[in-house]
Amino acid sequence: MSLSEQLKERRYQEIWDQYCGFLDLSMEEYMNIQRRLMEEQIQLWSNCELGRSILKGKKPKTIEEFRQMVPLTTYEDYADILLQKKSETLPGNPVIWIQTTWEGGRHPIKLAPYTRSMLDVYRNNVIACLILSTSRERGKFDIADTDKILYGLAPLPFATGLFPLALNEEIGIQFLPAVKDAVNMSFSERNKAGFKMAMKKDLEFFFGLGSVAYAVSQSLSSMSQKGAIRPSELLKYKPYMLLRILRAKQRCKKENRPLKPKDLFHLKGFMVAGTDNWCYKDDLEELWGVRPMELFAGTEPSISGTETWTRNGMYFFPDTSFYEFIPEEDMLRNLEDPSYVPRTCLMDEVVPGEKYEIVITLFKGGAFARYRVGDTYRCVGLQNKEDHTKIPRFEYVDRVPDVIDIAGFTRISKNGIQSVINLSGQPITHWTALKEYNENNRPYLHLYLEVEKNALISHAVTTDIMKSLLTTYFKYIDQDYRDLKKILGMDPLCVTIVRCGTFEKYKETKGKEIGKMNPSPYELRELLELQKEQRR
Amino acid sequence: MQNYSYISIIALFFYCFIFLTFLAAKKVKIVKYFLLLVATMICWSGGSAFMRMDIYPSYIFWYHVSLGGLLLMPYAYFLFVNAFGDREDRFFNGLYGVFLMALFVLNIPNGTLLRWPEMVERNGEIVFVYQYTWKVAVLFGSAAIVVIHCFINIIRICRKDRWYLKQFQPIVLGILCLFAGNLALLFPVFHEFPIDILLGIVNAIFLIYALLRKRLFQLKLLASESACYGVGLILTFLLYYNLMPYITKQTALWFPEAENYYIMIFAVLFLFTFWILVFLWQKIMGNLFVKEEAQHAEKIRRFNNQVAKSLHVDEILADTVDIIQETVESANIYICIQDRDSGDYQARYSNQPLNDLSFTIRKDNPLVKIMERNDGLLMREFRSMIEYKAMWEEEKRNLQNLRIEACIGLRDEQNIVGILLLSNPPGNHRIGRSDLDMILMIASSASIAIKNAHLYESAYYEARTDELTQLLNRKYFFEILREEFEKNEDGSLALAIINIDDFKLYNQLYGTQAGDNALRGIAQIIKSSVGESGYAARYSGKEFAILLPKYDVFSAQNLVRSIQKQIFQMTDQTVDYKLKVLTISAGISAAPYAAKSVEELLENADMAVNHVKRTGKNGIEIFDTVLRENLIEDVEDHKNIYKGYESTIYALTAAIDVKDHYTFSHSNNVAHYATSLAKELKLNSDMVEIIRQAALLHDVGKIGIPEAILNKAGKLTEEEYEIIKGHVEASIGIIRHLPSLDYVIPAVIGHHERYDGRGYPRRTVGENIPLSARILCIADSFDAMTTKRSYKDVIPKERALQILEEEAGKQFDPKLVPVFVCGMQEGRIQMANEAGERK
Repeated sequence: MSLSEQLKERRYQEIWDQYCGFLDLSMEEYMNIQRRLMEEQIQLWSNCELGRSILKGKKPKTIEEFRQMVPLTTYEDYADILLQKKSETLPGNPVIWIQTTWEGGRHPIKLAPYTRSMLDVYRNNVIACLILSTSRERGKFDIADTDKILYGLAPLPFATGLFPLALNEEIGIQFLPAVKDAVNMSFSERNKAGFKMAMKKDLEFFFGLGSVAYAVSQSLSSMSQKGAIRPSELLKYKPYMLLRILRAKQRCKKENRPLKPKDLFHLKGFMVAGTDNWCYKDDLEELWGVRPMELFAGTEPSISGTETWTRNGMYFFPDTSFYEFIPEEDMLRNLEDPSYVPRTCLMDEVVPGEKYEIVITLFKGGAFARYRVGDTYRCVGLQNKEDHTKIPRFEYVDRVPDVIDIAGFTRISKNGIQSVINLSGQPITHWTALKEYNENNRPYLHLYLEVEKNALISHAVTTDIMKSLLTTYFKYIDQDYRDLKKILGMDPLCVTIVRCGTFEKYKETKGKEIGKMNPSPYELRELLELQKEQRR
Repeated sequence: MQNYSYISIIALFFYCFIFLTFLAAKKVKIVKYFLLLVATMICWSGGSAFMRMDIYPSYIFWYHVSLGGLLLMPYAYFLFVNAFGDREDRFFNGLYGVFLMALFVLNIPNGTLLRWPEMVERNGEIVFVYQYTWKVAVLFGSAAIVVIHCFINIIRICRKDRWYLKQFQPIVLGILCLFAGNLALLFPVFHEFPIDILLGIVNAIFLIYALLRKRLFQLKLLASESACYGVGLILTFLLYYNLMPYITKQTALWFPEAENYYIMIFAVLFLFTFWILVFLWQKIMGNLFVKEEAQHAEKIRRFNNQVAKSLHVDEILADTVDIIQETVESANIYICIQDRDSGDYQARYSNQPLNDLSFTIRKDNPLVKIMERNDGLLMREFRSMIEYKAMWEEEKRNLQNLRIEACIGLRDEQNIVGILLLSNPPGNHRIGRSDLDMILMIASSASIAIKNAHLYESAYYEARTDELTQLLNRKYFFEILREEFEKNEDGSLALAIINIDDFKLYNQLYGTQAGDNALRGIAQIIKSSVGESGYAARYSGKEFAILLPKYDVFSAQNLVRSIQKQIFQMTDQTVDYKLKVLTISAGISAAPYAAKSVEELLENADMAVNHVKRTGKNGIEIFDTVLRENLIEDVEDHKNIYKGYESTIYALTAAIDVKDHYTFSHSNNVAHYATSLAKELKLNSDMVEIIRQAALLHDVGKIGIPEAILNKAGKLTEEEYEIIKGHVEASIGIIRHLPSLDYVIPAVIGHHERYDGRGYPRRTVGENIPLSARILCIADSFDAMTTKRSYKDVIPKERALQILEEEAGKQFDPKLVPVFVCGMQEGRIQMANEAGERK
């Protein structure tokens, strides 16, 4: 029975149990699901050509053997097979190939295959998110077949494009604008069309990247300020929407503030995904009047977890993939010494307060095994009295330290920065890069660099010139960086030129060079202190 | 009897008729609201009639029924109009309902808003006298608001979509009639005549007309015989129950003498009316039924037009799926198209974008056989057919998993070129025979359109693609190049040409089939690397071109470098035996930096490739004076690459010598003949060297064969012959362990293959046998014939050459034999013993 039919027959308890029942699992039951599905996946994966190419003759039988025999993998290990879409070599038959950019990779894009069974799990978990986004307490939710959702997401072949298709297999939720129209629109056209429709028909859901949702919300206030409603279109509006628009305008005039989405819409559910959501959540709540619920999804891991009505930490779905966690200590050691093999622990071995890098093995014939997604999470508790759960709860921290992710839009790697510097032709001798946040809580990339002393005579090297030059080349090598400016209106680069000789001095005093990506604030402070010392 | 009564009765009768008709229709929203509307009309006219007749319980009760009907009618209209125009107006739907109902209920106890009339007898006739107060305005004013809102909605709907303008005309006319009727009551002319009710009937007719025009109904259900009789009976009863006193009165007046036969007359009349009503009912149903078919026919006609115009298979498949969904409800629709090579039916399109299309229906599936006979088939019927017994369990399971309920063949004359698979719609409805007939109509035009589009697409595709690599062909590439050059005059356009190094040698080593496979592999790598960002073409035999709009030299170089790396790794993954690693020489040029015309761009890239070739191959060169960068890596001296293994070969041949001196000298002889033939063929020095080494090692596997068999004088038994045949595999077994010598494997493994495909061990045919192996085969046989063995005498040189010629095209390559014979006869190739002596 589809969700639509269940809703029609008002089987609310059944719906809740079916989709959100995983929240009632005990640790043991949760691990039982993980292990059962993992055993199935080991069979599928070990017997396909892709698996054999990584296993190199070994044949794992148990989960423990699998964890020993399969090395931790990255996309590089799968690129040859996946980029050429060699379906016959995969553990499951792909129904659709999802695409994402491969920053710093040897190919512009990454491709990830989805099997039909993976899509079934994906669909159920997407519905779970939809339900949870409307719930205010256990078992209570509010969704209807006639609800409308603003389509603030990239269409296929990107992972977000699966969302409407999967959802519409079960429920008739209407996307604004309709998916088949949205695929032919640019990002801003899509938003404009979506909002126009929402103003006429009302809106119940909104889902987007946190940063994008914020940008979109702001464009709404400017949109509604600019265009008064044309009389010819008056009849297309629902009367109560007209009433709301009028009232909202009046109120804003009285309070002397711009129009906010919450004046017009009373959302049932608000979902955000991506990195840096915490910087936007408060602003988004202020704009929409609803606290966004965070969910965790990606191209390779599909949809992996969601927050609940408490909006306080997320839970991983038990049936998407097998989770392993690399403790922070091992992750950092592995960053310094790539030959070191980090330990991993399982869901029932995580410790509250500890930060972990996540490693997944997809279930249901997925291609990725012991795959390092590149995200870090902190375990915030093993049980929760507030929402009565008995499984570990996590919060998203950020990407792994050697990748700088800005607003969920682009991932900047060490190689990326180095090639930008090379391309710019500037006489930069040393650099280190950090992700920092400005006073409005917005993330940016802070590049500390040192210029060759002798070149100062022949080159113009002001901070502004550096910044604009490097920005130009970041845009050149990275399409997403370009979109950052275009879509979010962000300029995420900040350049600080460090006094000549400081990096050398650091090496002398510390005995090692400062890390190029995300050195600890302590190390950075030391570096900056050193230039003062030099002055003295 | 007054006009009032019988007009009311006729109206009531009419409304009931409509109500019952639509009661059996499928309960979509619009039909439900229409029923509600008719129900209010029944209350109104029925209440009014019964009030006048003062029927039990009281005229006041019937007054309320009538008023309720009248009051709620605008509300029913409001709902109906919204449903008719596909509008959602939940708020007002609720509000008006509650409000009007509240007014109605408020009026019941005391008649606060409009009091029931007084019954007064005037001139022997009963007349109702109403007492109006200002409060009545509240009652009818409210109703008027709803009516006005209803009109506003109609205007809105029509503005949004002009199509509705025509659809709403009869409804608006109907409402106007209703109004006119009520207004007319104010004129004394109509004082005694129920003009309002009469025009109400007209209104109802208009409504039905509107519904028919919109063609919304599935009235098939009503066409059944029993339903017709049932409804006829109910209507006749209703009619006679009401008209009986009147009829009796009239009969008594006109035919007083027939009093005794009243019952009889009545029965005949009843039967007659009943028959007429049933007949009328059937006629109406028949017409409605035809209408629905006409509506479907109209849809199908539109579909036919649409697909006839399209030449894109995917577009046609999408249209086909859409029309099927419109006419027959189905949750999942799949279209499978016959694969031209295998003949199996591969799923190609589905109405749900995420449906799994990886399944195939084999051409020998019993389902296909039945469809050849039957066109369409319901699974539930199929299960009881004898052919179902021949279904594989997996085939059954597949269809069950997809929940297929109906299969329809797409035909091209006698052949089934595609299969339509449909699942049942959600809910209880099941696909039936009539649905199947509808789909068959669609399928017949779809299959023609698909066939045409297929032909067009494949012709289009073939004219533009290279058959072997599936990349663009040279001709089309030039077309694209010119187009893109013009398009990107203000931007940039990069061109890379990739030339495979030593590909001729590769072909000679492993045969053309392996060469073709390598080309296909490289094409695949290039295609997947370029993706959507540019065009890839087969530029010439072993050259590929990549055109990258908006790319500059830097980005193009990165891409080509990634391709280079992948090609380098490609041959590593072959499982059969290790193939020679392929390298590429690539040249890149980009406009506008170094070229201002298409010709210049091509020339630059070509020159860059030539430069790499001259300077040692395996590299990427950029033709650009500004960014000139030499990226040649791993330059090796190709000349001596194959000479480094002399010592290994010596060691192996020495081992043969110890074990079997004959084989040792035979190998040397074969090396002599083979290299001589290779030189006659003008092969390059690398190839000649490889052939020499292969000849020396070709029988190394004989080390493992017992001497008794090797030197047996008589005929070999079958078992012994099998052992001898095993020496080829044994040779490979030995050479395989010397990775540096793997390049001789193709020659060794193929030297007992026959040109006609009857050799061993792999039974390869013709030019698929590597050239080196074909050379070795001639040299090997010639030496075997011209030397003495324990089991045979020497065959003279002339006779041996003659045998070679006789076997040309059977055992030997017919092109190589004349070269060898000619070389022998003209003295360029000498007998091995003579050559040895001379040295």
